[in-house]
Amino acid sequence: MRVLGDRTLEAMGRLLDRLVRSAAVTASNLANAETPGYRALEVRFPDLLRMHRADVERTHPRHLQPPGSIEEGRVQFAPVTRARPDGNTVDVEREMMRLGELQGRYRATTEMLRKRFALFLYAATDGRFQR
Amino acid sequence: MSLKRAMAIAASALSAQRTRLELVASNLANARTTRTPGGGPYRRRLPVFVAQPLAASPAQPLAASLQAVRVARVVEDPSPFLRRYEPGHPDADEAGFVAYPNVDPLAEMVDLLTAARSYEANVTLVRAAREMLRNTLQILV
Repeated sequence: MRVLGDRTLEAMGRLLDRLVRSAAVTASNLANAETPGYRALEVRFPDLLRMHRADVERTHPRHLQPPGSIEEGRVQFAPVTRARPDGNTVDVEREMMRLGELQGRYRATTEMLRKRFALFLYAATDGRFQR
Repeated sequence: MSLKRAMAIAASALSAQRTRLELVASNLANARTTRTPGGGPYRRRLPVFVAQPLAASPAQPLAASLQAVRVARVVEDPSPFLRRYEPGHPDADEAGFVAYPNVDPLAEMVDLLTAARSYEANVTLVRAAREMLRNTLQILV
């Protein structure tokens, strides 16, 4: 097991970053749930697994690299679930559901990170230090 | 840090909803006010919400699409006053009619509930962001 440069850690870090970005988009939608003409946003991220593979397959420095902005995610208008006369397309229920979901995933990921660091500590102390 | 940004957006919404709540309170309190400093009965007041883009740095284009909210201005409801026949009233006109404010208590109550629910939704978001922040801090505990 590699400790430094561990890919799992990197992937988890990326996931946390994405969840935080999604939370910011949800915040924007909820804040403007009653602003006339506001169109609900959602952020789409490329498949982590595919990005990972793209990283692995790059065997030469001159090979093409996925663009750096890929991490930022693409912000687009969310699908309209109901029509309102003021042109606002925020669906509060959808936003609350999304918030709950990403909060749960955030919790799970930080817990996994925590366990992983505990494992490192266990290995580094010859199994004497346990929590 | 995006979590801080999410909290700032929610805070802007809390402030906007509170302004709305204050206007509902003002409308309800003055539902029967027939004299104002500007002359004439009280007119129902309404907030105008406007989406406000966050200042974005070139390194984070996502921030450019995020929008906070603010109350751009407060407008008066132009709908006609309620006219009621009360000849004994000091503000009655020659025909004995008194113009009462165009405030409908029922509509105000609905507005009150909606504002409270919106406020709650944004408080939930602040709580979620805080919880996420705490989870992050607990990674190394």
